[in-house]
Amino acid sequence: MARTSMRHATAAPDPLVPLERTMPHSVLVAFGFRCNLACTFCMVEDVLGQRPGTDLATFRAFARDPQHTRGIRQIVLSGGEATLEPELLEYIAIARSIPSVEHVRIQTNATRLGSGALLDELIAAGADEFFVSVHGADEPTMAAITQRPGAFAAVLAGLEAIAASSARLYTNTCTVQQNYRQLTDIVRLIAPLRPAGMDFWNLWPRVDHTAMRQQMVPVAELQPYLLGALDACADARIAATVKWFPRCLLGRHANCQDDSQPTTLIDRDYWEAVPSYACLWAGVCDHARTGCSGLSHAYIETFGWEEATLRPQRHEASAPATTVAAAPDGALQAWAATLDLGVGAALLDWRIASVARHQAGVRWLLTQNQQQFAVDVRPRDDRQPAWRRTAQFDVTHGQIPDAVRQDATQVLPVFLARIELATTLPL
Amino acid sequence: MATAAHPLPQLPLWPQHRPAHAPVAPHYDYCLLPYEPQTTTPDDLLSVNLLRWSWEAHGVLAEGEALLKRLREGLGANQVVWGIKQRDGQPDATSWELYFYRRPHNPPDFTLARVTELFKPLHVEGAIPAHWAWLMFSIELDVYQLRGARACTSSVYLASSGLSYKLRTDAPPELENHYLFRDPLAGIDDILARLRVSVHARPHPLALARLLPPQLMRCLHLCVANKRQADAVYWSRVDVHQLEFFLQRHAWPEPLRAKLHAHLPQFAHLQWDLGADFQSTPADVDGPGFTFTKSGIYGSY
Ligand SMILES: C[S@@+](CC[C@H](N)C(=O)[O-])C[C@H]1O[C@@H](n2cnc3c(N)ncnc32)[C@H](O)[C@@H]1O
Repeated sequence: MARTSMRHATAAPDPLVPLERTMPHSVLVAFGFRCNLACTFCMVEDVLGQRPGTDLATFRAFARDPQHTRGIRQIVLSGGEATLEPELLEYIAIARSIPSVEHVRIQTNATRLGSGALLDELIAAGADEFFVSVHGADEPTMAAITQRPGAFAAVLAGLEAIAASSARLYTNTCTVQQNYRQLTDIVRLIAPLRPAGMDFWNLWPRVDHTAMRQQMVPVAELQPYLLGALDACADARIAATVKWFPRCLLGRHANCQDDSQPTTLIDRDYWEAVPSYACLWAGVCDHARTGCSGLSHAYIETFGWEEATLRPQRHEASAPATTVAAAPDGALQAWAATLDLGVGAALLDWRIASVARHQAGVRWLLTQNQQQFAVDVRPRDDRQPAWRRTAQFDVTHGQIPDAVRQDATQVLPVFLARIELATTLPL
Repeated sequence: MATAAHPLPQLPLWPQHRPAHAPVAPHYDYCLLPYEPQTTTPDDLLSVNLLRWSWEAHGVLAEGEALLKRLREGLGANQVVWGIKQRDGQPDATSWELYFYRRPHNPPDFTLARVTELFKPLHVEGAIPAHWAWLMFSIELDVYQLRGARACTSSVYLASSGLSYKLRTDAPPELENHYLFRDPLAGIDDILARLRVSVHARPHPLALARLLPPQLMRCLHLCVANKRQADAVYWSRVDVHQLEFFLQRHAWPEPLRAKLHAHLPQFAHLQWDLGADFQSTPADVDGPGFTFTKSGIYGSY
């Protein structure tokens, strides 16, 4: 129930339906914000008892609109604790009425599923995946996190009932101070139940965004325990997923990291408090481009940027200038690199495709999505026409393809600001 | 008779005039480089209103506005970059600075000497020899200088060097600051390299997070400056929410923040520029070893 970025329709008829899909195949429907546990880090703690979530009528209207449902293969039902809601069966039925839906998942603490009766009803109605929170490997840890003594036994009973049913079992462990040393024990506890997958969501600080509760674990401390749990999953052939933990610290399990979340139907004001994420190396690391969110602002404010711990996966283009220095015009390339105008450098959505001597100056080719245009820089000569003059240089640019004209006018001032840092052209 | 809702008359704000049906003119950042405004509303306000509020709070609005008027009449629009500087923890210690860049849209004969003329009756110290390759110059102002009680001092910034010098009438120029500008994404390594060798910060897990708060990483350029008694970080082209974050972070005077907040949507079309000086505090042996001493916000007029 998180997102890294999502815009909402301002004039959309239904305030709960987001404008953009974060995941094309999966939609999460949040409703019935009540819970029988009280996890100390709950991401919807402030919403419990306060908001209605997506009511049946809204969900039904959504499900009937082929515009909204195109391509959806999975509906995830969540709350609160959805199994407390008498209407849950109806939500499942609506989910199943969407022709393309293959799976209906319930996010649950499973405490009400141990007796089997409710579980059977849910499965009969069409639920086939249960995503169960398992936040500890023993009763004291579980009781401390859920603030309900006895929760451990109740969750275990639910897990066993699901494992014995026709539905698929998935688990999720939110990694926090109270449980991070137990992660491998949790895998050992769950593995005999043959889960289809185990998730490890590192604390997503939506409610406690100033980290007052001191539940976040420094990444270097969490890393060995998380890697241990991922090794244990690999040994037991359980697919593992990690969220909101830097991918560069996952070593051979880097491909387990996936911060994406389903498109979510929830009260609009929920999004106002979502945590922001950042990484110092977002501009030079391949992981950042492929979905690694980095660290939450709350984390950075508490523990810092972790610049000594993170290991950015540098893409070639931003490798040190020595890689281009061997080229025949090495001096020119190295000089351009010192200005952030070397081959491969990013300027907004543009990249530098080439830097070469051209007539009395230097020509840059900027590209974006197979469009390109040239920017020429010459020593300043007030008698010649120029698009812009800096103190030292005249700058002109070539024909800009119409499709990117708007973007190009944005990037030119960026180019200008960088070239202004140069004293002379290396001609 | 009804009593007024506000005990003091409110300053009439200067609107962002936009001729109907004309394309939106470029706005200018603190390097006096053009940008397209983000979104526009009919009642958008000029960024310079913040400067006016600040002058008003210090009782020099009339003097400040008169100076702006002379500059506007003498140079034309979009030639002045303004800055408000606030000493951290001292709400009354506010000063201002005006910056003048060499840009393609300058009027002819654009020099410090010409601007010095326009400053009159305020007196500006310093001159720039014709052979210097200057990119910009700036003139500092405090309450006394704005009232004409003391001469204004000026500085020059040399092109393509990142160097600035204080100009003196009877003495040689004095090196003031050295600036390094980089893209916050592609150029982060250079920024970190410069901050790592800062004599004003100690290696500490939180040092960088304080100097480069994640909330401000979305900007056009980061800049690190090495100054005589402090180092500094600058952020260019941040949005109005980041501006608010910054003003709160550096505890700017509440009345100014409240006024900004009350008009937030009318300032949302603008991009803002920020800077913060930090200085070592040797006594802080367990922490990052520095405090912020001064912070500034910038706009253009
Ligand atoms: C809000 S819960 C609701 C479903 C159900 N009551 C449960 O306990 O699983 C949805 C999912 O988010 C996880 N979660 C809750 N708060 C979190 C947080 N602050 N950070 C990361 N994951 C969290 C839970 O473990 C669960 O898998």
